[in-house]
Amino acid sequence: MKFTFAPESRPLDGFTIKRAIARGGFGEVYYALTDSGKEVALKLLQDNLEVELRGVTQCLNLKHPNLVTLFDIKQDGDGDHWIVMEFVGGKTLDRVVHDHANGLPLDEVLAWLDGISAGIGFLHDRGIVHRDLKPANIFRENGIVKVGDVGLSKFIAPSRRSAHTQSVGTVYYMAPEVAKGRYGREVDVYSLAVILYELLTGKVPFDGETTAEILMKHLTERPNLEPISPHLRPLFEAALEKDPQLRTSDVLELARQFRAASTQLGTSDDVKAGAKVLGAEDSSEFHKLHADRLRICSQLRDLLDHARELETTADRDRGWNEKQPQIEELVRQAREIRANAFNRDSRLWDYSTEGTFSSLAAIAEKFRNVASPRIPVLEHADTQPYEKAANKPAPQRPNLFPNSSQPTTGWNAFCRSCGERFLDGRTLAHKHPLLAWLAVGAFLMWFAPRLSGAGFARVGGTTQLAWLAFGGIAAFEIFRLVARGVDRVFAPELKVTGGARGPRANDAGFRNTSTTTNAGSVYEGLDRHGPVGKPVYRVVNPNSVREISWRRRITELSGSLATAGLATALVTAVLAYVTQFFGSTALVGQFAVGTLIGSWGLLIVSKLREGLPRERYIDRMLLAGVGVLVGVALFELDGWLLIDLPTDGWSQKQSLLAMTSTSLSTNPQHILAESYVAFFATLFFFRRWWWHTDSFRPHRFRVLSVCLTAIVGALAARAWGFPVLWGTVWAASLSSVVQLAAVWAPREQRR
Amino acid sequence: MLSFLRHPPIVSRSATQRAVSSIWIDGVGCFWLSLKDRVTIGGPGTPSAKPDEPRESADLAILSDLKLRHATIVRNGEGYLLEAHGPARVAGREVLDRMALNDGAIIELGRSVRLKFRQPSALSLSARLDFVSDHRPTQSVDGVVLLADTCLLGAGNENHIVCHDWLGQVLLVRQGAELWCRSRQALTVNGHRLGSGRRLQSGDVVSGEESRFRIEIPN
Repeated sequence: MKFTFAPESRPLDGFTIKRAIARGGFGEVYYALTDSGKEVALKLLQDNLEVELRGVTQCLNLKHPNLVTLFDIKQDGDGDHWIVMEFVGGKTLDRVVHDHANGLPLDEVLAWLDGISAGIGFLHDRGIVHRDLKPANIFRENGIVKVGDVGLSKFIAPSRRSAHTQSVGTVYYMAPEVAKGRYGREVDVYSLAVILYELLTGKVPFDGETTAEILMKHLTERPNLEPISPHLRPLFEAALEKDPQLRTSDVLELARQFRAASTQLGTSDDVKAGAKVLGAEDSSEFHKLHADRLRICSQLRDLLDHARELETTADRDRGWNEKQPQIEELVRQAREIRANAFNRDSRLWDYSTEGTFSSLAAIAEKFRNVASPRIPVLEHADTQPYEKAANKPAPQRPNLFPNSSQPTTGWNAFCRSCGERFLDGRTLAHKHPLLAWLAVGAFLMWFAPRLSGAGFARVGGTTQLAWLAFGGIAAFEIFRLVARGVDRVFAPELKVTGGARGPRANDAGFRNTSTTTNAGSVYEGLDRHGPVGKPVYRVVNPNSVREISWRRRITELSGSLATAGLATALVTAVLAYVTQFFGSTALVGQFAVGTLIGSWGLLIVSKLREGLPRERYIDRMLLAGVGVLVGVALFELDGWLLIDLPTDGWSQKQSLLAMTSTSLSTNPQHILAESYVAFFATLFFFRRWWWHTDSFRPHRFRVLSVCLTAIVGALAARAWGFPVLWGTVWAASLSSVVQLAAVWAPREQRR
Repeated sequence: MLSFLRHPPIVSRSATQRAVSSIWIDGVGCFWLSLKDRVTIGGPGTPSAKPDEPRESADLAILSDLKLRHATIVRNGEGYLLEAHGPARVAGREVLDRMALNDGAIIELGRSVRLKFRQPSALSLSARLDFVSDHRPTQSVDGVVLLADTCLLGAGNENHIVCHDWLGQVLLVRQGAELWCRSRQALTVNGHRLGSGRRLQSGDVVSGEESRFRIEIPN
């Protein structure tokens, strides 16, 4: 919709237009404020005709609460005429009908009908025909119905109207004789009957594809009164009569008839739904149903009120236990009422009764939870699996420590029983990074809300993240110390080995015994072990060339991809709920998608290149290519979600991008496609990602790798005008996710 | 101990100047945009004797018999709370101290003021207050958007401001105290192309094929 006048323009002295309201049949309507702040509606009469003005002038001093008051007619500098009117807020009837596709409740219909008929009746009494009565012209504000556009249509001949101001919206309500150019107040009766029909059923009686088709139906077709209750049909037949002579002559008469017929239906103002809704054809049956329904409603409401009272006192005195039996009794009574209602007639139970019932049930549920919390019985349950695990004979797996006594108690034994992957008898702290990270997560969950509670939430994301990182590392170290202690107590013969890189102090005894050893022989025979009884393994790492079948690659890859999804969800959830790193939910989506497709790209490339002779630059170029794709995808997603990553002070103008790109955005908040692509390509190129993902990487999870990747991410982001905080966090998450997701073979299983 | 938190300082300003931003949309209405994390709701208060003297009132001063500062809507990281300083009910239940607000909750203040709390979009923390009873501020307002991150304008009910006849969607993004406008449609701001996004300043008129709105931001 285009309007002539811009906001803040002042076509009339003393009035400032704030916004356009609508385009009516006769011109544009604006909302304006006078210099002292009075709200008015200004209607611009575009076809500035004497006759129209005369019509309005006639109505200028009419006063009725159900008519929109006209204040004045003014002429602007260009000679155009403006009508200054009362501004009526609230919904138009048009909008109300739109919101109730199947018709309005009967009491609503009556409220609208009373207002419209009073206003139009007053007009008729003063000898004026409205002639353009339609839902878009009718408002309700503060409960008062107001009819607008009074005095505007009277002198307009239909031929000219249909030439340029006619819209389909108007012909729905137009009486047949209007097309012939003869009309009296019966046209308003006809229009009101059409509106009533629409209010009751949600549809107009005469509909069609074109104006001509609708007009033709008005002239010839009988209205379909099927959807109307039989009691109301005679009334509609009379009011929608084609011949104005035979039609109901007065809107007040129509309103009176409608009210009488609806009371006959047994409808009072407090009934939301009419006979149609209850499905009762017979009025006496309806009466009975309605009375019963009201009784059930009030009974249930009493029960609910009582329950609410009990709830309030219980909340105050903390006396849930004492009050619970009373609540249960109330629920029992409500159930009884429901059962009775259903036994008699299912129509007695409707949405409102069901709503009351479920509110009551919700209160009872709350009482049950508060009064006697369902604590699982721990006395037996929690110890059994542990003991069982401890008493279980050593698992049927290759014996890794033939010369040392098997640790059969404590954590190692428990862990041993849990599964394959982590359970090869190495120390807890070393072998269970996942557990360690769970501990870190738990710590964060505990720590973060306290941080924000202490007012840290306002300090800003960076500081908070730094605190969390510090807390996380501290928690990790504490966990390792505790785990070491546990290991010492239960498996003193196992020493915790530190460090990560290649053979070291503790591995000094490792001997590369036989590179051609056959399957299983690693675990057998004394000569495979060092002088102190340590197992000896071949030194293998991601650079080791080996043969991997395609079948195995695909199987491992699909597993990793699925795990990457879970890990992404975990990382994102922790960031979203614990640190409040994201400003909006759309950013959460952007972050999760970025992490997921990035990690998938890394996992796929590494898995396909695993075990092949390492050609460093081919790997790096492949990864950078994946980075480019990820960058493009994320830029597109950014555009699609209409979001901006929060920038953090580093302007694009200070980045490498300023030297290479000529198309710096006018919006410094907007991340360019170049930034996305360059950031991910750089990040993927400069890290040796195969050390994160190869199944022969030295450790399942290395925090150091995550830290290094985060630093590379920060530098890449800084270089390419990408948000540094996001770059850092994204890099760290990618590193964590791929390490968590990639398959890892324990050292002793490598061959 | 933290009782001072429940009684926020009253904002002083002149009678004519509004403390919140507003958006005037053709064919739709006028909405207030509040960027604050704590929005006080109250009655109009008494006008001061001197016209230029600053007058004390709540952020959302409704012409009603409410206390000068009747309730506060607080946004924290996860959602919204209503803190009552006068008689208040949320979803039919008395608010003794504070209560969480969920989408669709009816807030009843004093004897007759009723507001509806809406959080229409799952993608945004922003919320909207609809006026259910007839009470309004001194001039008619169709709703108050509590703008946390973004404000969506469009035809569907998932938008913070529902513009029934619009074909496309417009996004107001909050960057600190600034408002930015973004859209996939070809829009202009004061006649200049919107492009990938543009910061809105007070008095800017954003127009599109079938839509137009103006924004007012207080100094």
